[in-house]
Amino acid sequence: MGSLGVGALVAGCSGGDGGDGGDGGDGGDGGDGGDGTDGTDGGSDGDGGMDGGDGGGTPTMTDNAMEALHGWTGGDGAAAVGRLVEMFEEQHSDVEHDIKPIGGDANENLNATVARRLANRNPPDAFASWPGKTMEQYGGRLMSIDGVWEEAGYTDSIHPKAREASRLNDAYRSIPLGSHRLNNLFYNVSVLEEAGVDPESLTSYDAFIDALDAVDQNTDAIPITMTTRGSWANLQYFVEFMLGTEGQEPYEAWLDGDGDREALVRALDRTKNVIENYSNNDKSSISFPEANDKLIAGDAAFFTMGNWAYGMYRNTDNFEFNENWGWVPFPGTEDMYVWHLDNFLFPRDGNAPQKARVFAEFLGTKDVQVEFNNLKGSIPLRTDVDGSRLTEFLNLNVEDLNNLEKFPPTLAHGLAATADELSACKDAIASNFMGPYDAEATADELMSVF
Amino acid sequence: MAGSQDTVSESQNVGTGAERDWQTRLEVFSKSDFARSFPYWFIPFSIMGLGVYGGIGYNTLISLTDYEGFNEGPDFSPGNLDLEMYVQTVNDPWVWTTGKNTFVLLIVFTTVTMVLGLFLAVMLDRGIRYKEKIQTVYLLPMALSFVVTAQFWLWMYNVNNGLINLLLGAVGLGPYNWIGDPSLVLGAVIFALIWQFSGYAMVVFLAGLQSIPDDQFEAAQVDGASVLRTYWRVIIPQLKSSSVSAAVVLVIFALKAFTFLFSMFGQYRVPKGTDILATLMVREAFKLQNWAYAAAIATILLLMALAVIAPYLHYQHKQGSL
Repeated sequence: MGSLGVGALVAGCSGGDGGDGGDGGDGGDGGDGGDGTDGTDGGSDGDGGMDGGDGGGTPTMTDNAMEALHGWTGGDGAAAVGRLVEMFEEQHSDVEHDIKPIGGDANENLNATVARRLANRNPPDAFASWPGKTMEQYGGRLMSIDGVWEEAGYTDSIHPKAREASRLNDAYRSIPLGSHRLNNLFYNVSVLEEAGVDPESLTSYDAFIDALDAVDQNTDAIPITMTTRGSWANLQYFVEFMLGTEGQEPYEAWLDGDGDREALVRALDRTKNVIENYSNNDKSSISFPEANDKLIAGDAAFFTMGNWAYGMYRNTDNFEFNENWGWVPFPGTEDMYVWHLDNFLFPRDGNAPQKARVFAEFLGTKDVQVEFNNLKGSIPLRTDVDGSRLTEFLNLNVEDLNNLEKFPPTLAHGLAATADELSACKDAIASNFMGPYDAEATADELMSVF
Repeated sequence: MAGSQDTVSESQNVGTGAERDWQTRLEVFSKSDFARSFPYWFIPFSIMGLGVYGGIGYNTLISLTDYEGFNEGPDFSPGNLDLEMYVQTVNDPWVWTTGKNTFVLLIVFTTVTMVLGLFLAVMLDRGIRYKEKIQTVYLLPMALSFVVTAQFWLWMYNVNNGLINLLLGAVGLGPYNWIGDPSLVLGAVIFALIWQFSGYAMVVFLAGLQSIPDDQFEAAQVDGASVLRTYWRVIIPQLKSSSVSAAVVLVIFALKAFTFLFSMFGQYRVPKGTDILATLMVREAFKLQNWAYAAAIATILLLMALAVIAPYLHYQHKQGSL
């Protein structure tokens, strides 16, 4: 039995290697094509021309199935995308599709698969990703879907902030599906009652620290449950404290390369204070769902995370909004909606470009946006959605999206930084801010990124 | 074919003797084992050669270019090939950090696993009770996927309720933050890997031990050698070929620690204390599309593995075990 195991492992290993070698070969072939010399601008021009042709003439459908990749494999995401596929089959039964998940945390494997296939000139027809600056790395490899946006009227019916983020090199090359909000402070109602904390009072860092102290002294619960297993989480915590205590301007000034080092140091020190003095000991070995479980179980008072955490509350029996758990904006960010987007991007030179356009149009329709986001826990980007069709918590976020004026983009989720910049930020955090926590050194490295 | 026959008929006029010699040689060659077995070994050989050495060669070639991003393929024109990427790696502090971790992992994991495996094999070879059962218990972790063992060890190392800290707490030690403390995390990962693979080393050594005839034990006993001395002087020196195969496979597993780390932390960016060249390479390639730079890191990784195993292979070669 043992030797069988060995054989299987070794065989698996060498099989994988062979496959990789083959892929490398493909990459070489791709390089010979004329595509390479087009560059970014040339690529976008070509796309524009292609688009015009499609709009005027008769679109020809290829026989190939439309292949779309996404990373939603866990609980809510899988249910949401399952519903999406069901609706696509109902509405476009004639369009053959191959919509499939590439699993892994935070799009990690999805992005790697997309990168490999784009480099090998074998792109999928669509893939889920973050727009904004993250999309820039794909510049020159995406097709324009301006035609879809205009024909379907999305240039009017989709939220202006999402419209802007979906564009690259003067054309729409992606379509937004939903938005998560980042500046959330979730709390366990009964723990806060026991501690004697009024959630409405949590409007500043000092008030937040007072609340954490109150929980610490008056209850057995952990004041704030955290995960620091990945550097993205620490980066996200830092951004929340930065926005909550220093404000949007210093944050965006830093992203623009004009940052105030002292502001960063202050924000990092505050983040450090909360992580070191008020959070759970096992934060470095647990994932965010495990951290969130502590709040659900009543073992922790607060949790800050993007509102995908809300999906876990909804899936817990007898754990209701405002009765068992509550929500306030992260202290100091009451007037902000920290902005995140999930988009589908559309590569050029795919096997089924016309079907991909049908899919793009489908993604922007009202019903799809409502049904997908109700299950996913994010909110639709259509401005004309009837609030009563959404759950109470999501509707509250929609109202904020429509009424607030400050939309600082999320850094840890790629809207505010290119892939290179985000990686450099995570390097800075991984080196100096994952225990032991060195605010000065982290600030120096973070300052040098932008 | 036709052309060569023409040549033959022409040359026949010149010298028939030399021609007959040539024909005989061809005939002998076509009947040789080499030629007759050619269709059987050449196909697997070329597939393996292309897959493994072709892959290594192509990777090395890419590492000499400036290939990055999606828009242009690698440029292999001679003027473009240089060692720039290698210069960059030397100046990159992350390469040094991860290189150091990789080196420590390779050395400590391989050595401790082999020593432990040998010790277990000798114990089992002494004919202790429940031998088969114990053998299975030690070998079982090897049959488990990294995905399972990584999550399992993550729970074991939990600072609050992990089994390791509970056990240490019982004797008044700790609690230690195995995963969160940058100075402990590499050791924790190596320990988990040793747990998984010492059973493999044990089986390889055990097979070697059991192929040694009992006469040698008896002869040593008659000569008055102690058990320890018998193993040290007579038995272990005969396990060279077992130890070569164990060492090579273990080094390969150490390089595959990437899978373990990825399963443990759910991402390519693992805590800095346990970040290895393999994770850095994947980040550079698939997150940042720095293909050439990642290829250079891959080459360094290959050379490092060869450097670790080479002195050992050389020694064994001289001893005639290879």
